[in-house]
Amino acid sequence: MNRDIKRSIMYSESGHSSKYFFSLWVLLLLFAGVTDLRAAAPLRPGQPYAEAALCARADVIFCEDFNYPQNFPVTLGSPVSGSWSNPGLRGGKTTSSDQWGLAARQINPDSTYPTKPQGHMPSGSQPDSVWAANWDPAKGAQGDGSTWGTLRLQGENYVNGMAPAKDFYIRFQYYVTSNYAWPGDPKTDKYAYGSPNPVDNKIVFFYPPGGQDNPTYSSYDAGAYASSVWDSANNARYADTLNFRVGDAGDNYKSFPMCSQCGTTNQHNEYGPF
Amino acid sequence: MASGAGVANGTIEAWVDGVKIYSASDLPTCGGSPTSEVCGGLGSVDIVAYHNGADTTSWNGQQVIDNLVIATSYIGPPAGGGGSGDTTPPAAPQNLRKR
Repeated sequence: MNRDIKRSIMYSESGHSSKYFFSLWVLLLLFAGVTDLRAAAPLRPGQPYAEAALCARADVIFCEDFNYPQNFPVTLGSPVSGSWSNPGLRGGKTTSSDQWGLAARQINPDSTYPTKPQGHMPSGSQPDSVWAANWDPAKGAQGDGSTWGTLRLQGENYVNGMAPAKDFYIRFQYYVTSNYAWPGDPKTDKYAYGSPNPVDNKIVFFYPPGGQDNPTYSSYDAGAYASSVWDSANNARYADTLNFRVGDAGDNYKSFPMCSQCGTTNQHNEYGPF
Repeated sequence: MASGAGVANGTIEAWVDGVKIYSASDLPTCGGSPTSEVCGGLGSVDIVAYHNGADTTSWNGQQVIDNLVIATSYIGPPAGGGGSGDTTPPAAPQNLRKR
């Protein structure tokens, strides 16, 4: 896997440029044995899901279409407070004690951005909205943006009754504005390239139940992020190569398909050659 | 398929716009610490735009996410408002070259 794969991410098979949303599906098979329990995403009273039929599938744990901004309140101040309400979250809501990065994220109309490949996805008469981390000084707060959702605590099942999923699939749509600066991106400061750790642009991450206390030191994490890769064949660097991170601090968080942490065993350098 | 902590037989597969872009099944997905939580199952999700604290790159622009679904089998691409989604797994990619 090399730059051809990267291009397929930036330019979809239907010819959309990077201005357009693309959908990312990831299967994370974290452990042997799939529990064959059947449920569905818990329904939001009076708030139908944009993909109602999909969310009613028996294998679905959780759905969020971000179409109801009132489910993501933020109160600016010191400290900033906010929450995420969804009946699929433990207790129906994850509150400020487990939230961070609240000031730098917003729920915006999808019309703010280029049209998604499948078009608008309203929830009935409720207009389509999206989650956005706002790092644009012209438009609002800058900094790390986050919305944390607790699905269950240790020893518990999910709200819909399903047992803890050790093998799971995720799907989301992703878009960055054309002026987006990745870590190590010379776009905003070409002299900063090569600065320490231009490696880590987290997008969506997953944790075990203990993760909300200290995600970095949770017993494992898994997620999609972008990292910086040097293509030795073309003497070029790319700050936006898609990677998937798994593992824990003890094994220095392996990432694939580009694993600079893998050492001499089980090497994965598919963005190479190296 | 995967196994316990530190064993390199986990699987990650990824699709972008319906095209499978990555698949590997020799990955140590469970970390190296044999604690009770290791690979005990998904507990939390963090929708996040985060840069490593040591990175000095100036932030700019926006990262946008929509239509998140978590399931125990293949989900498929969005099909439009109120649609059921395409639940048919994508066809195997063809004419791929590794250079």
